[in-house]
Amino acid sequence: MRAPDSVLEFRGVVKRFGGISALNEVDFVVPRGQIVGLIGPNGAGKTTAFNLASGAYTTTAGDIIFEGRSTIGLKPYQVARRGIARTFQNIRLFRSMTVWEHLVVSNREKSRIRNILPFGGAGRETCERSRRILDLTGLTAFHDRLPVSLPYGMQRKVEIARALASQPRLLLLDEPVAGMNQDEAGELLELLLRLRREGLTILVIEHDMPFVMNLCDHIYVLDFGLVIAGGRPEEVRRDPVVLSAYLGEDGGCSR
Amino acid sequence: MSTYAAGLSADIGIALLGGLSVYVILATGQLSLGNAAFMAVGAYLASALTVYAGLPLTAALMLAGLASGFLGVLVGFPALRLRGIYLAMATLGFGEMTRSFFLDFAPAGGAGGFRGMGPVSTAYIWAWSASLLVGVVLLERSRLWLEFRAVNDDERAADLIGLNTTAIKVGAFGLGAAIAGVAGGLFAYHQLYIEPGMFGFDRSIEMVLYVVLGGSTVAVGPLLGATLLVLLPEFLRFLADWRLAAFGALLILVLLFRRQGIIDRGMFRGLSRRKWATP
Repeated sequence: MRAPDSVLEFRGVVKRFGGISALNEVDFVVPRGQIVGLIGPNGAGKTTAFNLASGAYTTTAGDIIFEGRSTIGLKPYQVARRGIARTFQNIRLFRSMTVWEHLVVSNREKSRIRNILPFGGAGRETCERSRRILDLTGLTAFHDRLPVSLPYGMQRKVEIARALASQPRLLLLDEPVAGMNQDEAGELLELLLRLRREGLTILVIEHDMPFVMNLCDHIYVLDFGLVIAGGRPEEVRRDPVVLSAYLGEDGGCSR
Repeated sequence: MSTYAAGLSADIGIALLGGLSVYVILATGQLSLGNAAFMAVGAYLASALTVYAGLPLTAALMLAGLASGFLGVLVGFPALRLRGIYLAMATLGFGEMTRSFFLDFAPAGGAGGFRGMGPVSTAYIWAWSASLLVGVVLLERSRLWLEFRAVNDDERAADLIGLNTTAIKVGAFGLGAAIAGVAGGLFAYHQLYIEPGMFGFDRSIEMVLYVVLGGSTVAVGPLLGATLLVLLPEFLRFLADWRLAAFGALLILVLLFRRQGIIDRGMFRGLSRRKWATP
C-alpha cells in the first residue's frame, strides 16, 4: 500500500491501440502538493497517460486511482467533476466565448435553478473566485476578449485559467510552455509554483528541460510506453539510462 | 388590422417558433432537418386533445409541447452518434417517417387530413410566440446556455471541464422539439385544417432558413428571419412568376455577405458585457 497522501496513482496501466502498446504496465505516483513532471521523447506515451487519467481513453488493463478511488469506467466529465482538470497540447478554447465566460462555464454551479436563471451562474462566490484566477493568471485586463484576439501565450493562460475555475485538486498540463517566449515561460513558472504553494497538485508534460528542472519536485521518464526512470530532477538529469534514451550526451541542458 | 395583415402576423408568430425550435438545437451544434415532424406531432396532438377530448386549447398546447419534447429526447439519443451532414440526413429521415406515419394513421384522418379546430386570434398566437421568445432570450443569458455554446464550440473540451455533453445535447433536442410542438398546435388552429403534406421536408427547411438568414447566434435572429421570409414573398408579388427566383437570389446574396446571418452575437456584446458581473 502506497502512502495515503498520493493524489494520482497509475498501477500497471496498459493501453493498446490495436496491436500497438502505447503504455506498457506503467506505474507512477503523484504525491499531494507536488509538481510532478512527465518527460520522454515523442511517442513515449505521455499524452496517452493524460488521456487515460482524464478519462478520454479507457485503459486496456491496470488501475488508475485518484484520491484513493479508481477512476476506471468514469466518463471524462465525471473524472473532471471528481477534481482533475487539464489543458491540451494544442489549445482548445471555446471560440465564441470571452475569457470571463470561459471561467463561468468551467466553474461548477450546484444549483440547477441558478444554472438556468439569467446571469444566475455568476454569483458572488463565483465572481470572487474567478476574479482571483484572472488576477493570478494576469488576465484581468483581457477578461472581455475572445481567445482568437489574444496572442498564443495568453491563450495558454486562458486554458489554465479555465482549468483552475473548475476547482481541481489535480491539474494536468500538456506542454504548457510550447510556443511561449522566455518571459511568458518565466511568468508561467512563477504561477505554477504559486499554485503549488496554495496546495494544488500538478502533473506536467514538458519538453523544455530547463523549465522542467526548475519546476518539478519529481520527474518520471517515459520511453516506448515504459517508465524508465524516476526521481528528483538532479537525479534524473544524471541517470545514464535517461541520458542515452532521451536527453542526449549533455543532459539536454546545454542551451 | 386587416384580415390579411393579421393572417401574415400570425404566420410570422408561428414561423418564429419554428425558427426558435431549430435555433435551440443548433446552439449545441446539432442541425435538425426534421423539426416539421415535431410540429406535426404537436399539431395532431393539440387538435385531437381539443376536438376529441374537449381540453382547453392552452392546456392542449402545453401537453403537445411536452409530448413533442419527449419525442425530441428520444430522437436526441441516436442523434448523439451522428454529426454534421449525417445528423442532418438522419433527422430528415425521421421527418419523412413521421409524415408517412400520419399519412397512414387512419384515426388522424390519414391523407384526408384532420379538421374541427376553431379559429384562434392572432393575439393568442403571439402571446405564445412572444413568451417563448422571451424565454429563450432569458435562457441565453444563463450559465446553461454557456454550456450549450461550449458543446458547440468544442465538445471534447466541454466534456473535459466537467460538462455532461450527452445531457446537454439531448436536452437541447427536447427543448427545441417542445417549441416545435407548440408551433404545430398553433399552426393547426390557425389553419383550421391539417394534413400530413403540410409537415414535409420543405417545412423543416423553412425553419432552418429563418435561423440561417436571420442569425444563428442570437434568438432575435430567428425573429428577423421569420419576419423576412414570411413578408418577402408578399412584397415580391409584383414580380409575378419570377417571385420565387428573386426570393432565392436575395437569399443567396445575404448568405454571401453575412454567412452568420443578418444579426449576430457580436452586435449584442456591448449589451451583455456588464451583466455577468465582470470585474
